[in-house]
Amino acid sequence: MLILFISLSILPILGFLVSLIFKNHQENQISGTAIITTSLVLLCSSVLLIFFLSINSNPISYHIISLYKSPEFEFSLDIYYDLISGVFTIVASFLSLIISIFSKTYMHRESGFKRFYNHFLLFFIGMMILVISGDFETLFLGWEIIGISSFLLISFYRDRFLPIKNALKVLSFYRIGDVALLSSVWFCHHLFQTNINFDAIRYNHYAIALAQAHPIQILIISILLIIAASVKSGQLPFSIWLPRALEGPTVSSAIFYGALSVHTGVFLLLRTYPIWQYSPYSSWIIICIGALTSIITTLIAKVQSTAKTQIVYSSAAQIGLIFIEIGLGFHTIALLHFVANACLRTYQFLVSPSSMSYLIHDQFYSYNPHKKNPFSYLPKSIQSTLYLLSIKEFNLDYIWYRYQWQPFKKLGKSFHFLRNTVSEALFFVMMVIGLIVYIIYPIDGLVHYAFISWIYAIIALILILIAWTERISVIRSWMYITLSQLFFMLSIVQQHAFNMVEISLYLSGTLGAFFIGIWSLLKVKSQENTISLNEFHGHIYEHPRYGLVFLLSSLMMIGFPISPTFIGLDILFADIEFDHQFLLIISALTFVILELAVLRIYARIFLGQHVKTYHETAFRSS
Amino acid sequence: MNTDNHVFNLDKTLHELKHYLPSQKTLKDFIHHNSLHPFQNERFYDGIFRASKIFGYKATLQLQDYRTLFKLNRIKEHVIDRIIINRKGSDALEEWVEKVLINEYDENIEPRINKFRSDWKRVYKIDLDSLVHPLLYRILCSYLDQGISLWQFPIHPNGFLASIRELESNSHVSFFKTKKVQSLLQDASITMLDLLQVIVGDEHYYEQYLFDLCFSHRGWSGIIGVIEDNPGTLLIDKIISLQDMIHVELLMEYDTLLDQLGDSWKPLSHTAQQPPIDLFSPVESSELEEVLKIWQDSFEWSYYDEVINGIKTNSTRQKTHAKNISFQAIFCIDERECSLRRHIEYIADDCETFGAPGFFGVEFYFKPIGAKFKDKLCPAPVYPRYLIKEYDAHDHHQQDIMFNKSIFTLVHGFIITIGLGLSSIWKLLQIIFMPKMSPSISDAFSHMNKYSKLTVVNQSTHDIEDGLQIGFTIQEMSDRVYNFLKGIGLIQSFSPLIYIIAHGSSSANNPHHGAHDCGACSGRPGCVNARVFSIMANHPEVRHLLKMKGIDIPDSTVFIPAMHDTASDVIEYYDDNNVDEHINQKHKIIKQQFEQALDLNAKERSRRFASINTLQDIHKIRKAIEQRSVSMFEPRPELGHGTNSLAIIGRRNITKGLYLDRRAFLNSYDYRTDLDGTFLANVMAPIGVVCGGINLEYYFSRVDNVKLGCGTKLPHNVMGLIGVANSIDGDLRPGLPWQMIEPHDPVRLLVIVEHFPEIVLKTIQSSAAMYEWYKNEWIHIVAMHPETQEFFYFSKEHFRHYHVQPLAIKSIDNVHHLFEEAPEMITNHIKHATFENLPIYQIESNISC
Repeated sequence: MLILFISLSILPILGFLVSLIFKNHQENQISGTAIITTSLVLLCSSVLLIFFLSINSNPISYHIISLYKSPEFEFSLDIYYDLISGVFTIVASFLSLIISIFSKTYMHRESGFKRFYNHFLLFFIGMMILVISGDFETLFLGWEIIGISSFLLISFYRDRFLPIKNALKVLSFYRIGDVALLSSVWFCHHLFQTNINFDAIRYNHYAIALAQAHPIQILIISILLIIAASVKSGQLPFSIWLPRALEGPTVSSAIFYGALSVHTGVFLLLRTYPIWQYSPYSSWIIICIGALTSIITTLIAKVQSTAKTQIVYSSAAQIGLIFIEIGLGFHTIALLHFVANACLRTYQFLVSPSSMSYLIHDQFYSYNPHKKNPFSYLPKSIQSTLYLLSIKEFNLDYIWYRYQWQPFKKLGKSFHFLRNTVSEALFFVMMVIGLIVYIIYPIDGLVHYAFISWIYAIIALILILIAWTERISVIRSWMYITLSQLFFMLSIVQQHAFNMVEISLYLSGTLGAFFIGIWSLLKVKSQENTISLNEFHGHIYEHPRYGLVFLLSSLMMIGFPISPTFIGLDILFADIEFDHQFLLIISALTFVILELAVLRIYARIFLGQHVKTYHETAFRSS
Repeated sequence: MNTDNHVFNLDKTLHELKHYLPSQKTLKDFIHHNSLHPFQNERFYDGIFRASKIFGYKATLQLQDYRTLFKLNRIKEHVIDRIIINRKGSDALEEWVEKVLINEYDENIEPRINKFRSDWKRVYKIDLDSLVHPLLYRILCSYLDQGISLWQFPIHPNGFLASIRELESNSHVSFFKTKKVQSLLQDASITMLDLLQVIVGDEHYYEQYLFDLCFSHRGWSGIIGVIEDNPGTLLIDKIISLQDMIHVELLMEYDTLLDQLGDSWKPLSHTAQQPPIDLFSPVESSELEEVLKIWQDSFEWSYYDEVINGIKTNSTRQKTHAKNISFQAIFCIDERECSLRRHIEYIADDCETFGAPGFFGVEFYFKPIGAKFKDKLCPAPVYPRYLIKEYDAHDHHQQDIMFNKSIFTLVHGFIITIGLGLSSIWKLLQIIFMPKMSPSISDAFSHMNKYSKLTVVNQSTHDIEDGLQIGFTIQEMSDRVYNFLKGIGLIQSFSPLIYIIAHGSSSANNPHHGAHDCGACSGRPGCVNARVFSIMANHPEVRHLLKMKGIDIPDSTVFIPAMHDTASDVIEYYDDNNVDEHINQKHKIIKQQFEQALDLNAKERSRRFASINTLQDIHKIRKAIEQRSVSMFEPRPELGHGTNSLAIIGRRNITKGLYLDRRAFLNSYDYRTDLDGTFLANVMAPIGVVCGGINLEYYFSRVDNVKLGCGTKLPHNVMGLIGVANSIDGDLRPGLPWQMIEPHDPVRLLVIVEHFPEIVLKTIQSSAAMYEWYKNEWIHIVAMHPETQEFFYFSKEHFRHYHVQPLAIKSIDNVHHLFEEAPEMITNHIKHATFENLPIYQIESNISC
């Protein structure tokens, strides 16, 4: 049985690796790999579900491996399987199979044919890991993979401006969700004094008692989880990223934003129900978010005049209803609703280009010029207001831009006076001294100076803000990112027992990423006149290899699960002491902006409209 | 354009804007046209390179690509030499050969457009486009929407600006962020000039600013200009003008500037680095352009030489004449019918085929049963006075529950989502494993009910609906039939059965389906025209009048209308159940022959389709082709006009038995029946506008698919049922998608006319509009002397004798081998794609005439 579980995640990984070895024009091999992978996974999931139902639907759990273990923290991979996992694995593998067959012909001769399948299989890995994960660490692993593959597929048409712009925008929302999830894991970790194992949490009476004793903490954890779920499932106030994510080929929009990725929020809520159920308010929060979303996105859906946005907003509205069902405790209905919504939206997306001929034909025969609008019974002023608001998506895009990201950018720019060699040297010296002091003096002596770790954390934040708003030197930006990461590490180790393994895990990833990144940037710089951060350059057109190398180094830098930084990061987060919420907030912010700053560099240098125009380049507006 | 004018002339600027913006209509009216038609009054190369310098379009292939094609022997060395000698003289040959083959040039384009307006970013670090466009597009799309949204934009009868004003004044919120702009919007005394003054400042910059502005989203600006001038391109009337759009956009820009920059900005002309530039002032030519001209000419003539050789060889071949013609079939000139004609001639060696524009000379509007609107069924520039109505059949409108709009509501949506959601599991399996026709697929045969009746014969000239006469009078009918038959040279030897074969195309999931239908029928299936023409030609009184004019059609001859679906390779016959038993017997046999021809046609097409194995059983191929046209996952149901490059006007004799690889528009014309060229003018009239339009649209979409084409189809989103855009924030994308132009070699159309050069010259000069195409070399034309078989090439306003470089034309005796062994492109780069286009062959077997 274990072998079946392991194959659920190993098969997609194998498929992904195999799909890497082919050349772009070997379409049959590439799509064949994906089709075989998804159908095998579908087979395994079906067998598992049948088996599961035959043993009276008792949840199954396995401990696979401990990647890292210390007295306080254990990073392990666990599997947990219940009806929720069963339904999600079946739907995910079924729809992925459909998409991999559909895309075989649909994506034929696309210059990114291989890239599409690579990213799609990467996503499939993430999805499978997520839905059978047995603990928060494993879940977060899948969650992160889904996030990055989303980014890569939104920016699939990497030689145009809008996909890149929107990919970065969607990413900025995803980061809110990621950090909310990571913070809730941190809270859980400290509250329950153990890693959260989904199997154990259901029966752990000690944990229940603990939860009941700390209603505030539980409420915070619940809110963080709800935020994470709302972000991923396009609920208010985050909904507006959803239509903006539809930049990839129709098939990827279908699987991500019609079917699977968008329902991971639903999954998260169902999976963490044993945690948030102890907070009396959380159900109400979920119900309110769901209700508000379904009403508002329905309004927005009604005024949409494009085929895909209409689908995506009405899907968000249905997910709002699923949230309500979850909040009310009707989990089986929620599951059923998920299956229906996922399949319906996939279908609608796939046939959305047909709406042109179908609806024109339909109008040709059934147009009614006197048809009333859906709210004609309301007073005119209310109608107009609602209509206008819906067209403007209730101003949410503007509000996020103006009141969320712009202030941070302004803040970042206000630190630009630090962009000079002197302060850089100063930071460097500070960092080295910090390290030396830390190594020479036993930690116990320093632990009382919590403010030192705060200072380091604030420096890390400032540095990352500078890096994020840097407009000229890409090398400087990359350097500031690395420095920021090192300060981040310093600030956390300052308040904790010295552990060389933790530090070296983290350092090796960060420094490795730094050197690989700087190498590829310098290579490109030596061949091109300009590489500034002021505009998109699209250098991937001429330098696809450096682009790939830099992307990999970026992923390492942000702690994507291909580098030891990932484990290091998790540990470091876990190491933030419970009473240091301030430090957590600062670190969380740093962490949000880190990924934006790193991928911004990647986007600005390698993606977007190519600065050279000797070949066809798209208009900026297309 | 003259920027020295002291007064900015708004009307003139708006007029020029509309002239230079894309002029593609809504996708339901897809009509091919020259993408760079604003430059058509200049010579081809001058026009395209100027367009390139002004707007940044790529006008030819890259130098590198041409050189690769040369290395692959696709461009012939001796042709390059000849072109250089013609253009530069033989003394300069060596010098130019080096330039053409070896020298390096900077091919980067720095267009004039958007040099001024981009200062917002340079000076104030503000990205106005990103802040204004998304909302602007959404408002425009919602206003123009033809039936996607459930809640329509509240429309004011006075148009776009008035509607926005009314919506704003009724509402508690606003599209605009600042109070100042909100009040400016409502102030009717504020004109566009006032807005330009606050935003731009110096009047001299207005025109440049407006061009920069409109071309920052040329798709939307273009369609609005088109709708303003042709409101009929929308099913549901919407009043809008380019001026209204600019007015609203300027307000939004002002609003954004105030919101983002407060008071810390000045009108843009205050920080201008350059004086205003005249976008359309002459451009400097460069050596690179000369080199590209030589390459493009060489690429074209490397192919044309082969064609001319082929025709020369072929027309001198001995051909046996069939004594009894069993049937005649008249097809559209469309190059996709070129292969079907070849195959039916092979299967039924006693038949005769003709080609003519697929509206068959009958122009009218068509109103199906139960329809609320009517369709125009004739070439786009024609505005008919006739209406044909369908009656005596049931409504052929079917609905698809999956497109039911309640899906998008909340409460109904909940119930429907659960119900439909679960059934969509089945639907998903079905569209993948068992594709079949459904109401959501665009079906060429659903255009008209097969068993309906048509109001072809006018009962009374007072029978008027919507200002159109219902049906044609006897005289009107006989005129049309006479002109048509005379045009194609079919005035005697009528066979007992004459098929009028229109064409249409069925395809699934394809917003550009109109581009695959008949261009001569305004981008719609031509079945109604075929039926109308046949009803006319079968009418006894019409026959009587024709006889008086000298065309004697035997009473036993029957015209049978049919339609060929070019995607699924199916032919449907109409009005064939009331014919004599004797005729019916023959008809049955002929139908069988057509089935065999369609099998061959399917096989020929399948060689370009990666998903179909050309080696398998021919019936399986046919089945696969049919399935392809109803497959949702198939972005290439057919390849449309891709590869078109020739238009041959003359007797079938000169091309029969020649393998032209579906690249030729074939228009039948017999110079012997029209020695003084009276009818030739009619025949030639649509060649430029229809065939030339198709050819140049393919040319430009091929050389710059992302600017002049609409890029790959896969991320397209249907916008308001009027066009497509990438995702949600993108500009509308006119032009053709990648999937349609892949196999196309970007060469200009070569028109070959079988007539005396002086008659051809007289004919093309008979209309200025027609002459422009040839004079400015947007199309090449060659006259083939019908008696000497010499060729005359038209350049610099004269026909000159063309010395054909003799080339051996290969012959083949088995087309199956040809299709089975033809190469398939590895990538869609021109260096691979072009080898899918096969050389000219003579087909050895079965030549008869």
